[in-house]
Amino acid sequence: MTMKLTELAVGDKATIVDMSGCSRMIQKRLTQLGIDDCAEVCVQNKLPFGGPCFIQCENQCISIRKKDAMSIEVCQESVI
Amino acid sequence: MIALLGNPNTGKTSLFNALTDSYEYVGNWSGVTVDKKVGNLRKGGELVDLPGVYSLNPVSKDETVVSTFLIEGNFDSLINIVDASQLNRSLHLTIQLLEFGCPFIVGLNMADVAQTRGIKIDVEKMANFLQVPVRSIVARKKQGIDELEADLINIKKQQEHGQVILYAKPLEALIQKLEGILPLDLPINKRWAAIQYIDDNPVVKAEIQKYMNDETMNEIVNEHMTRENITEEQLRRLIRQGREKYIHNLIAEVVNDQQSGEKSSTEKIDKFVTHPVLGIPTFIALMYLMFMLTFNWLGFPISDLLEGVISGPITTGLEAGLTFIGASAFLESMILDGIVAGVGGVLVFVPQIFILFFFISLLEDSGYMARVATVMDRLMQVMGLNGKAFIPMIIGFGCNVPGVMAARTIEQPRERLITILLTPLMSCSARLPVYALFAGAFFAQQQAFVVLSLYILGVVLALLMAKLLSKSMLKSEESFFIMELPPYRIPQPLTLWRSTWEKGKGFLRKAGTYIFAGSVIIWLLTYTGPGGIGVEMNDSFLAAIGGWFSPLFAPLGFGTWQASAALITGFLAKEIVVATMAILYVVPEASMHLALSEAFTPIAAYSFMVFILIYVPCLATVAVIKKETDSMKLTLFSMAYAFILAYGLSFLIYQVGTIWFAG
Ligand SMILES: Nc1nc2c(ncn2[C@@H]2O[C@H](COP(=O)(O)OP(=O)(O)OP(=O)(O)O)[C@@H](O)[C@H]2O)c(=O)[nH]1
Ligand SMILES: [Mg+2]
Repeated sequence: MTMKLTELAVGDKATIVDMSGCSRMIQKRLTQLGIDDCAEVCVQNKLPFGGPCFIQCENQCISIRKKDAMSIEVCQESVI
Repeated sequence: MIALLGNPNTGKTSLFNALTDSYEYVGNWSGVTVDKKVGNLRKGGELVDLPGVYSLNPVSKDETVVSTFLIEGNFDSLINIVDASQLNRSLHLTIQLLEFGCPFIVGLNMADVAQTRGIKIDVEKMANFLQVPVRSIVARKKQGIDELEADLINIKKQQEHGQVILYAKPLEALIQKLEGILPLDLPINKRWAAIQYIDDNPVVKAEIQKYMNDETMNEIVNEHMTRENITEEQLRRLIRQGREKYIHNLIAEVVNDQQSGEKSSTEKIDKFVTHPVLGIPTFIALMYLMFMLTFNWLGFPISDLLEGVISGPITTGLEAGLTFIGASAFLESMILDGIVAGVGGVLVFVPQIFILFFFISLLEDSGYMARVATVMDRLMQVMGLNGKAFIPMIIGFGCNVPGVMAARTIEQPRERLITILLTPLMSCSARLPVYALFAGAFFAQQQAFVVLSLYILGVVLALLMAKLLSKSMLKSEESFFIMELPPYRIPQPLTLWRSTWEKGKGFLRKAGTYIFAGSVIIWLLTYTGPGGIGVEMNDSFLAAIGGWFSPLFAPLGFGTWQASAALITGFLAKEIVVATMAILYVVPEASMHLALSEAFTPIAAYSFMVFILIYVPCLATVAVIKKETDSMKLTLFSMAYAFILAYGLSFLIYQVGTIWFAG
């Protein structure tokens, strides 16, 4: 089941399914950083009042605005 | 000429400094170096430091510098710095260099970080895989530097025709088609150019257009896309996937990864400094700490001590010496009333300025800057700006010139422009002596508080102006924000000292040149007048010049010729204001504080400080604004708005304040 990246709780891990909803610049930068479809990300922190959210991927931490995080679709593997 | 190329924040400048014995700006965030810098290699030849890039396909202005540099081809070879702890990400750039086909070697930096993380890389296997020499180095500890230097000599013998990394079928066919129609005289590798063209690289596109009409290329791409039923997006993805596959194979062969899953100290610190509630208070507390140490707890007593030495033993010593050699009254007055008063008046504040620079260097090198930018982004967004604007602003507290330069990392042109225009409102270290002098003279009890209010006023005004400017300027493009948060690094004492010294040196140099010359000229203008030499100060040329402007400032509370003269000289460099004041109010046997308090009322003094904070960026800042905006109109605007704002605000403060305290 897919959901928005912002719907994940802090500390949750998920796999990116689709990020074509982001603005082109953000998409370009994220791919450059190795954050692309199928990448596994972890939400590390969310700032209040709609502030940026911190995502971790492959040993690096990146912050993006909530608006952009909202347009990233992720999928959380069901815990068995 | 050899150039350094690599991802942002991987230690390129650190290596540059080690190889050229120079000291360029190092800091722990992405985008410290924003322009190319040339230095001389220890073993002869030139080395160029470039801004960091993830790809040869640029997003922001500093990245364009790199692509352009590469295409222009004015270099012999490259050193590609690869972050050993971020191998996957770094190698995308390496592949593009392999395809580009210029001689280069790989400097595998951050070997120490990789080691602590449990990543083992077989350097020899990696060199075999890439067909390029690879050296493991620790740039900031200068480990492996000598070996790398030795490699540099052999570098030129390498192949130059570029490696071919095969991509998936539909993409590969297109690449070959485009490669075929590129003009023969195109001076760059055609396969590389074709791939970059498909990847929508604006710099490469512009370069190709110089040699041919790219209409035909466009048609071929479109036709190919319809035939293969593939989108542009998918083509680009295929490029990435092709590279990823290559990297995957490389890593499988050369890396032995035994990473432990334990939480790093970076995460622990971040829990605190980027805490949803505590984030902003932490920042304010840090700023407050830095401020109090500079002005109150540490800096003030030291400056006080120094003032005692300069006005006491040094002055009496010089006096005795001058009398001993029988110097003329003219010379004696020039040295004591001009140079010692002027330059000494500024030098007194050196300790405070060094403390401030020390803290700014600490913030830069620790990794905190990127966190501040993120924590502040929400607020800045409301103001029509970007969290990244906070980095130029903090640097601007030291000096506005590098602050304005640092705005280059802001990708969005409009936000970058606004940041450039507003950074001069940050109270730089050159304004610090003025505050310290006036606050000491008029508000001895609340000294720190008064100075703090000026710093805050600068920030608040900048934010309000940002709102105003972003509302009135065209909303050209959508704003966006993305920031990498590098791991915290404990700054090395030596680096910290060097970077403090580098900043402070500029101040000392100014004291020795501008302020020295300024002091002599100002003294000369006070010593001479229409009536001849050795006139009363009030009949001097300077009094005449200042008097001409003083009515303009009378409504602000400081309509004296002395204040006007100081303001005019202050345009050159704001420290000169203090030098001028020290010369003009020099009173033997009495403190300058006393002389000042006769010339200004406390409200006029505050109004004067506010005016100094805002009135016009200094000459060096104006020059850098001109260079960065490339527009005379905007440069003039930056001066005009500052002057109007300063005038209005000082007027308000003085007029309202006078009525308030009179009533
Ligand atoms: N642990 C470790 N830190 C390093 C090493 N080399 C550089 N650093 C640190 O990494 C940070 C970035 O160094 P810079 O030399 O400014 O990096 P840069 O590649 O020039 O960065 P940009 O100009 O922003 O692209 C600084 O805090 C350095 O002290 C290294 O080998 N090991
Ligand atoms: Mg650098």
